Amino acid sequence: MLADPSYKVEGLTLPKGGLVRDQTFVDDTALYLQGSPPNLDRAQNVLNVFCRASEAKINWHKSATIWASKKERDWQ
Amino acid sequence: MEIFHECVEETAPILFQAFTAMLCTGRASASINKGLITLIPKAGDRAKLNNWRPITLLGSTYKVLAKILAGRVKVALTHIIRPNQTGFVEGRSIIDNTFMAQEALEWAEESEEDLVLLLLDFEKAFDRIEWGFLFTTLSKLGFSETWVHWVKTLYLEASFAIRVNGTNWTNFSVDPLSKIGLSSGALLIHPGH
Repeated sequence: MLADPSYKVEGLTLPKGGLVRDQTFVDDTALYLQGSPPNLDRAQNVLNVFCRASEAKINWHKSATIWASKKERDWQ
Repeated sequence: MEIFHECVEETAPILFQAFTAMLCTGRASASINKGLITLIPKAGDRAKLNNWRPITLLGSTYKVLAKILAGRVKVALTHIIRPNQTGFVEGRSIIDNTFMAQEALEWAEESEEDLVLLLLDFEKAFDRIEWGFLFTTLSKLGFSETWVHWVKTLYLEASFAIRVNGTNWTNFSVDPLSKIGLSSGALLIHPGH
């Protein structure tokens, strides 16, 4: 779903030209998201739709968010 | 389980007959899908209920059937599971995820790209997934009606009994719409077990 172009979720373009957006091992899920608020909103929307359809539930207090950039974040 | 291996000449035709009957009638015979729920001690003080874990024991016939189905679905996995999922599929490894994480983090630092890494934890992932969602997904992936039906029989016709202090209590069945998790729920998410 995240890869569905109509949801416009942007990942990270790698130097060799590849793109990474998500990686999973069984139910362990890592999302690599381009760090702008609108893009994060779109990703959140995809997660909501998936959870509604499948009854899956994200344990937010056991999940982690990492700001992985040298630059200071200029938004909250 | 060993008896199936040791006496394959005798047991295989019986299983074949039972499974064929299931396929023809579309129903599992009650005894195949019967699970026995019992408690096993984890650690610590056994007087505390928290230190016991409920486990569902399934009959060998059920396991043989589940294994057969899992073995067949395995052939298709490489084609239907995206390369980003490194679990379950032969030839893929969790190490790939580690390498990817390292590469992405290094590149974000170097390139000054803004990257947010989100590590998600799904609550009771296998148990929560809605069964209807599972069956619809299988159909959408192109599995035949017969195939999906096999999977359904494993889930929908299950009944259970609770074993306490050596006594099995009355059977009950699980309403498919209820949210009771099965320990066998991992079958589809994790074929091969």
